[in-house]
Amino acid sequence: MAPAGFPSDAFGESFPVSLASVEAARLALADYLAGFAVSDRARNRIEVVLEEVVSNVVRHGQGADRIGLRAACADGVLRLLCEDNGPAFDPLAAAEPAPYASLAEAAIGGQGIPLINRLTQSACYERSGPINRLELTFALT
Amino acid sequence: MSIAITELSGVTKAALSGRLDTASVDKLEISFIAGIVPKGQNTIVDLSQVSFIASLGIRMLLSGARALSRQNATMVLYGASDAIMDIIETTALSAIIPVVPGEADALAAVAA
Repeated sequence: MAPAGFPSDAFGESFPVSLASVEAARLALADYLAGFAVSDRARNRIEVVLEEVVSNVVRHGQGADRIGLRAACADGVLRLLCEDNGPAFDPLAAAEPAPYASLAEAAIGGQGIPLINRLTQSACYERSGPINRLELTFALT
Repeated sequence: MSIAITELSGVTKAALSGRLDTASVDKLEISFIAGIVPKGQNTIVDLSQVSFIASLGIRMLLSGARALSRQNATMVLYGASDAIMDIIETTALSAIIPVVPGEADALAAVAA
């Protein structure tokens, strides 16, 4: 049964936790989005955030073995639900890195979660039993 | 994803092509850094054939620029598409690494 707000014909797929799933998830979601009017800018932003979310689970979700994705487009908005069964991890609770002040002092790395925050219209995390649920929305234009 | 390193009158040129995603950067970051940093020269990076960049790609560019800066060399990026520029600006990378439109602009920037 689809989660609340996701029609029965919405996109839904599950992927193993492996690096190959980052690309597999991208291609699967791109195939779904091909049926909707999505601007190039929005499509790129969706792909970047999906890359960050899935690769975070692959690289840091120790013990996770499945990544679930659901997506639905309505009223010019993509709603994307990402679930994994790894250890509880709220990516939205991470502190924003300090703005780059100089090349010498810039932190190397740490831009993945800020990209999730900045490129989405909204982002919400909850731990539901053994599952991390990250729900994101994007404007399609 | 591929990388081509060439020399332009004392300036290192790194031409990247393809997707700077997690899988590609894992494989090619070492080649990128090894191709530009030991030379210790001003470096221009051609992004015109890069179709996608995420956080690990940003990290790779920042690592290279910082290593060069420690040798008093400068890195300049050029040729970024609107999609690539959107991500570069969202991370504010462009606040610390110059990004210019074309190769001539990049060569002028490193010579300045």
